[in-house]
Amino acid sequence: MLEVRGLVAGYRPGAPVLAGVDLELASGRVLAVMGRNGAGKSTLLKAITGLARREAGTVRLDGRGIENRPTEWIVRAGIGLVPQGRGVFPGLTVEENLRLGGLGHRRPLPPAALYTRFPVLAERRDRDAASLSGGEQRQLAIARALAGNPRFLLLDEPSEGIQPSLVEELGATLAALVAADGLGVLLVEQNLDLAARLADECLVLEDGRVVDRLPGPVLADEPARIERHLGL
Amino acid sequence: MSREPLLPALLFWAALALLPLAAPSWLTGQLAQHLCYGLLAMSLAYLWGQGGLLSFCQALFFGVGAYAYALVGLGKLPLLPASPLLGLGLALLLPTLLALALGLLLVTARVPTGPAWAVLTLVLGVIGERLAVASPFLGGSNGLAGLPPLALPLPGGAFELLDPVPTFLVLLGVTAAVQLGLALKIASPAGSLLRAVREDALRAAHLGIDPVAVRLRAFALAAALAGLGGGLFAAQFGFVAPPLLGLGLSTEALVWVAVGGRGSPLAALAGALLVKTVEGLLGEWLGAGWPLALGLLLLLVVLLFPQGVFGGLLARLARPVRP
Amino acid sequence: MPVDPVLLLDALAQALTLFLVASGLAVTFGLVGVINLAHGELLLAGAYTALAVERAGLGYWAGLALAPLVVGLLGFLLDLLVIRRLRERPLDTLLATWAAALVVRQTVVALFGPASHTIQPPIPGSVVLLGAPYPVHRLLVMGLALLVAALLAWLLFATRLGLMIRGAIADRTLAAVSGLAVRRLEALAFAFGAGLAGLAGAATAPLLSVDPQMGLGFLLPAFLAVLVAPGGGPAGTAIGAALVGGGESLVAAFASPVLAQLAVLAGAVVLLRRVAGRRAGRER
Repeated sequence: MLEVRGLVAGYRPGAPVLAGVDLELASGRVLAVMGRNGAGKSTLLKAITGLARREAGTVRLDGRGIENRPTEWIVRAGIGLVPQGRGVFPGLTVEENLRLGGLGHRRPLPPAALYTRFPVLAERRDRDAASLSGGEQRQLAIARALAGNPRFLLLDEPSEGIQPSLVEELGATLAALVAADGLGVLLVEQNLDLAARLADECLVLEDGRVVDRLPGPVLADEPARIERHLGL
Repeated sequence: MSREPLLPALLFWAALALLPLAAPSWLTGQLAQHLCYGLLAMSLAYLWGQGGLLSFCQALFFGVGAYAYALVGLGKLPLLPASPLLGLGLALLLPTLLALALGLLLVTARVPTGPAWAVLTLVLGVIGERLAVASPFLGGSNGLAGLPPLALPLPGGAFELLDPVPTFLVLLGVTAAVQLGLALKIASPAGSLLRAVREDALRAAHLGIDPVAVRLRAFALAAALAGLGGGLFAAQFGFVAPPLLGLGLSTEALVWVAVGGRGSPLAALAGALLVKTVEGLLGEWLGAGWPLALGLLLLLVVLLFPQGVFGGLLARLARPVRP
Repeated sequence: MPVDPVLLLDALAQALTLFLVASGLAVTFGLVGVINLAHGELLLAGAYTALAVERAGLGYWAGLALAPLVVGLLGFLLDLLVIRRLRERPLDTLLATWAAALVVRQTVVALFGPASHTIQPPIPGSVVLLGAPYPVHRLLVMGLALLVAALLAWLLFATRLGLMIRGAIADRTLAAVSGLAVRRLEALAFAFGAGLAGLAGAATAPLLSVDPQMGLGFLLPAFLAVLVAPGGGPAGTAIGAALVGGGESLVAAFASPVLAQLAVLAGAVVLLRRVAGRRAGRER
């Protein structure tokens, strides 16, 4: 169980982006975080993984406080992060990216295990990661985070900038991971279709606060309720 | 800092003007020389603190100014009469032209102003000193000696600046004028432009500012002021040599500015006077230990007081008092 | 004009020596992103370590072995006490490492005096090579440089540690997000780069006069070699070192040493402008 309580965090002292966020995420569940640009979605993921500056609040993993730990410790404890953007090591091959994703971890997944989930990466294994297409890079970024065999995966806008058919495929892969491995996913997403398909619950962030909590099916059944928040 | 507080500057200059009444004449003479270094320090503070251009070769322009004064003063240049005042004029002009020429090479849009730029200035400093050493025209490593002192054309004949007290007062006037002029410049729209380019050149460019031109102007202005300091130094010292353009003096200038405060020319000037005065008092006693002490001082100031000693004080004074 | 083969050998020796110095710099510049202006003084410390060990009667080889360890420790302390604290202030890092260089240089002056010293090469004399006598120690240094190049290539491209270092160079944040202790990796790399500088200092000491200014003489060519190097790896550094070191040595032979330094510096400024422009373009 990943629990966040009263999290206040940002990048400069005295200028917090998050103004007190609570959430909990259980294994095998998907929690979507939605909101407009600048609402603090990415900062939430960075604060959980120690990349943003925490000013108050706690983050607990299975009841143990992890909020004061350095990023690499938090990641090794079982929280994987796929950052926004390309999220791969340029200049390293696909296989090196995947090996590097597992190097610091006690029970890494070998590249071979990841290739079964992402077959296209197997074909590109000796290519420079920077030479991959946008969709392939996104798959590599997720596979790289999975190489550490995390129990919780934090995804920052995985569908951004890739074509709709690939978003579809990505959704299927993620759904399979959650169902088969009991992975807990915290999904920051602007794409309502992808969020609706995966999420068990949805948090709406506005100005660094949670302003609404909706059960997952609402996203699919009553999109107007969420679109109001997103200003669509 | 965007605005130099006026009151501390006026108090500072008033106190300094009264100094010859109390100080022995050797100290007055020494301070007059240190004011030349103060001009160098102010030029570097403007370039580095306001413009964000850390330069490891600011003494190059000081030295070029000094050599320009020497060459004219000794009548070694064709077409130019051996005139000290003309020499001072060339000490302003030549470094400015050199800065513009080097600037066209270095301060282009394509060279970022970070570490690579600083290393380029380091290279320039080395080139300058080596050229001076290798040039027989400039006297090689012996330099040029026997320079005439500065002469003021007064009614009733030229007045040569030989005695410490008049020399000090003239230098005080020049330095104070430069400091106040820089304070005005920093508070003016041109100063805001320079800081805007320092903070984010790309955004400034989007706002229609030409960052290259802004930086080039700052580079040239700083070179002119350093050259003026060099010319005045040569006039007083009567002797120029390659170390005046070398990395050693450039490094010393960095120490003064870092110790005083890079954000404010006044603070940098005070830093130069402070460090040079301490050197005068302790230098002989510490001997070879003095450069070691300078290195440690620079290290500690950079780590612990990035605003500098006087810069921190001035920033506190400049902060508006809220009721 | 017939080119003297010994001249080419000299140029090669100069390039390889410069590679030895620049490779340590390239490691720290690539991984920590810091231009360490004290790198020349780390080399100086290596040369004086060799001198001190020889004076203590332990001979040259002990000094050559000890120099990288002593200087590696010095580099570790430099990273811990200075560079680490200035991570957010890159210009101040330059200034602080310049100050640290001054401190090391003046400490050497205080301990050993400002005059120059000589260290006898461990294997004196020459061998006949390409029809001319060539000093044995110069050949030893060239061999050492090649060995270091091979070691670096192996370390970077064939070990887990090398993979971690390349990852951290490619993207520091992503490396941390992958569970790597990036700070520890950087401290290790910095100490390692410093150790290479110490090794270079001790290795070249018998070829040069050992004096407090020798660090500065190497710093600028080494920098230029790193800054003009295409790509960050050992191969790029080797090309940069060949351009700067080999070029300088050839111009010096045909013209004069001062002119050679000037020509190389000027050439490097021009090259640097292009490289800097390319880097700026990539960051945008």
